[in-house]
Amino acid sequence: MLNKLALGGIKHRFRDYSVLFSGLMIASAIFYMFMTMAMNTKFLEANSPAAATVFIFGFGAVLLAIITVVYIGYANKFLMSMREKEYGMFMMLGSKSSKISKMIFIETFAIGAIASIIGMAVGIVATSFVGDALMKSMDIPAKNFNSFYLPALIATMIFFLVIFILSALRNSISIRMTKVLNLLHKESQPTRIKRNTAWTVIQSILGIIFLGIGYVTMVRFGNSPALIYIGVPIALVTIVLGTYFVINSLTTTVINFLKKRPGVAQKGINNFTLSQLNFRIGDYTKILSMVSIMFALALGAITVGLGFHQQISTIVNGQQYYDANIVNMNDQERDQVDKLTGKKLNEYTYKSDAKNDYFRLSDFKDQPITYNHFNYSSNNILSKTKTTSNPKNEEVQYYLQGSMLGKDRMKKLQFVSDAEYAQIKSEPSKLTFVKTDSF
Amino acid sequence: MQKIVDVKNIEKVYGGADEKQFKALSNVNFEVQPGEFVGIMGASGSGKTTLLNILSTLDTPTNGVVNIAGEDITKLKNNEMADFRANEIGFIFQDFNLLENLTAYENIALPLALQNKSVKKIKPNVMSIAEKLGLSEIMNHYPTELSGGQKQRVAAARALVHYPKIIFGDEPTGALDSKSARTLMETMSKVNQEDNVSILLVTHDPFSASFCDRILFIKDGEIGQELKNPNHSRGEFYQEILDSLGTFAE
Repeated sequence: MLNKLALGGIKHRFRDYSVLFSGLMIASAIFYMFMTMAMNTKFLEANSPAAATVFIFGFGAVLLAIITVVYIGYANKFLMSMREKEYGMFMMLGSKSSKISKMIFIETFAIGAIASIIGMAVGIVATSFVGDALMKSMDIPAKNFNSFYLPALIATMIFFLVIFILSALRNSISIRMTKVLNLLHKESQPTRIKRNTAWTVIQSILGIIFLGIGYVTMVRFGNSPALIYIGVPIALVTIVLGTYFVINSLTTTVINFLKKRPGVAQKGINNFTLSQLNFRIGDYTKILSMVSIMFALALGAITVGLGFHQQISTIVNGQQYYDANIVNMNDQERDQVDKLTGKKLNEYTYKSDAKNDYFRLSDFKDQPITYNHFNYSSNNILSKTKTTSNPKNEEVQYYLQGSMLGKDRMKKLQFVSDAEYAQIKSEPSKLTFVKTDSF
Repeated sequence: MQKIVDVKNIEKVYGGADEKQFKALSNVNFEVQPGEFVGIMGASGSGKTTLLNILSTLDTPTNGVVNIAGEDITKLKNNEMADFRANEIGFIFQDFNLLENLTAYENIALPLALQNKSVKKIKPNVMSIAEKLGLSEIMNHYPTELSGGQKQRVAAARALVHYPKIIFGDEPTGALDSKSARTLMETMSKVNQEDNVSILLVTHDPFSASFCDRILFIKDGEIGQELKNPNHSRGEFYQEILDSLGTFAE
């Protein structure tokens, strides 16, 4: 009977529940999807060249967890408000509060369990789709990536279990603390609005300051590999707090400002709309801040995704500018190179003796060579490309040596004039560098 | 014989320390004997609902003593209060407060089910009260399939199923048409006489009030006049009530 009472309420209000229920489901699906990536450090390390990726995903997970907690708290409070009268009546009929708590637990758990199980199933399916799409667009085989990832599943389960226990606890405490009479007449009770002007002003100022700090640290610290470890946590805390404060206080301030202008407030039903908005903003604040943080997270996720995509060319160009190095190209190879679109060829001839490889300086004058400049003092493993007609630089030499046949690789490079080159008696070899626009 | 309701000097003040205070009840004293059918009448805002809420354990008085069935209800703790509600009193609301997802049978059985009574014990209780109130035909119907009068009788059956010593009614006929109201009041009268259950109801409808043995008029938080009907002739009593309301309002 107890179960029936607890669960009957859900069945009966299914339409009201379904919106929130699908919200909970999607929350757990998203959480699972994110966790498959965030917790799969092998996958992240194997597929992302940036060392901070694992760390950034960790903070993404924290942010997502905060959003999920707020959402579930909100949803549960809403569900409870629909049931308050019923629980009040049970108490009126002589039900002990322990029994009411039990019912609340059954109800909250049933909703939580069903929503998160379906959500995780949806998450697994969605992850495989998204994963496939991602891999296809990146044109690389997914190393260590699997849509079913047990640690993520366990993490999601534990996370949702804890949240639902906490919200059931909160619901049952709040029901116990409320007088039966108030539970029974909750619907007809006036909402009391507490206004504290000083606190509102402080909040709006703090909100703007926090948001400022958050975005400045993101922009300033985001590019520096060393500072990003401080920047991200700072930004996470300040942006979340700032968003909440701004929406909570600034909106009321703006509405009040508008209400004081007769030109705006007394036009049509503006006054009614503004007052209604002002009255309800307390309820809306959390959900609005959540939506805006959600947007931030979505943007962040899209940015990371696009980043992955962009990295293909960054990685390709970052390690070696040229797409193919060919020594003494034969006809077969020439046929293949001819087929490439948007290609640019650099050809350098050289002669070798026992100790040296000789290049003509004029070749480099005619066809400046592009090389990758690495800055080893920073942690950045990607390089800048530079073009030069002077091949005597170490990085160019290193690159030339690396492109030559094994027997010539260990020799010293010499760059000589055309006259000197002609005097060297040895069979010339040709080094061809190919750059295409579509690696 | 022990009094069912014994109220001494109760006072109810709304509003906290830093708010505007409002005295809803002051110096209220009265008694209800076992098997008595008492009505409380008064205009809107006179304090009659506040008084009923205090008597039915939903609210607490600011000052004073409330004894119901020999128990000082202002001193009951959480679980004692739950047991007290479950065993001693029944409650009928103006808007029925039935659970939409339970059948009439299940609604009536609810107070017993909440006490973990066995199905074997519940069934005869529910069936006998349902028969008395003429509900046997509709036991498997859901509230949405019932008329207002039927719903209120189901609610009355739910209030009676555990054989309470007293039933409190907050405008039980307030949402009913006159025919349903009459049926309900006749049923209440019958239960009151046959089972010796005390009934205390709040109403502003003189017709419903005419079924009572005694009527207390409340005005501005104080009990003023009292009207008794010793000879049980309803028509005459109805007139008497109307006359009293006329003079009392002035």
